[in-house]
Amino acid sequence: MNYNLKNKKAQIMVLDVMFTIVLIILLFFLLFRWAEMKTYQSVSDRKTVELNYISKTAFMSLTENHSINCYAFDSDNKYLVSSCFGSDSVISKTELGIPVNYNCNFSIAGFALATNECVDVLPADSNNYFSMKFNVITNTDRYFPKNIYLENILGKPSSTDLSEKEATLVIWK
Amino acid sequence: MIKSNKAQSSVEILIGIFFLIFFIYIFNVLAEDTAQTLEINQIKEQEQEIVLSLSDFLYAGNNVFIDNKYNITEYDASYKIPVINIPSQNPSCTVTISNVNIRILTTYNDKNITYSISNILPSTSYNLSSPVIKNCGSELFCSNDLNKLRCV
Repeated sequence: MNYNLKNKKAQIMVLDVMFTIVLIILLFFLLFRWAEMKTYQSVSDRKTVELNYISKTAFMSLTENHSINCYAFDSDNKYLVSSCFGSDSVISKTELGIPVNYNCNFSIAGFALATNECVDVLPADSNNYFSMKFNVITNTDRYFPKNIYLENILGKPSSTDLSEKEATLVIWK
Repeated sequence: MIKSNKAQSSVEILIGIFFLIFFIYIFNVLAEDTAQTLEINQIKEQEQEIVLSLSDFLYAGNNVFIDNKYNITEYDASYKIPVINIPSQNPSCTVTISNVNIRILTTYNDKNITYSISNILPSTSYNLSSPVIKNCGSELFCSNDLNKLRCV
């Protein structure tokens, strides 16, 4: 009788130990799963951060660039006109700060740029890209007299009408 | 009979202890590997932050320089490269700025962890004929040198 009781106690203890071991193993699997998830998330975040950084730099370089945007001039000075493009504006990856391993597409609806390096085609299955639409000013020549710029801003009759058009910038890796 | 039972129990206890030690060892190795993987991720994230902020600093210099290209005589800017911090240690890292890329290399537990971004600095603004190599925690100085920015 006494032997049977001891045997049962031992069996229960063995079961306790087994359960504990199984629980610890499950906890470790949970930990590995969590670590795997964190690693995947981290890799994905890094790609997004880099794409956003490159795109932000490119957008700023596109809208506030002395080598790309227009100038309004008078007899003494010339002033940069932000977000303004002439047909002669030269769009290059270097000028926009886009690394060679990135692709870009820049277009202005109803307006042709004579020299544009950003003419890559976004693959249909691409799901990680930066895309932005924004309004810009366009003119045949990127240099124009200051009075034309002021007349256009004030809505007065002008010899040259500057146009407002929609531009699209898409960047991906 | 009793002696035989006792001997059997002792062997069972020994086997139990052996398995327990083996079990602890295996899971300790696995836990260390997991912790290391997470720390490597942290290092990579910090490396990216350093390279992108450094790139921002250099690109800002490029813009200022282009804006004033024909008037500027003095340009002095400095940037303190941050260090990498992770819970277990402060690994040493080196940043290399060349006309090909901006690259950071961190040595962590005899492993080399790198992050690089293709250089977006126009060669018309920066003189990077020889790569600039700086350690994390040190300061990078950029100045105008014959109408081009030079960093040391």
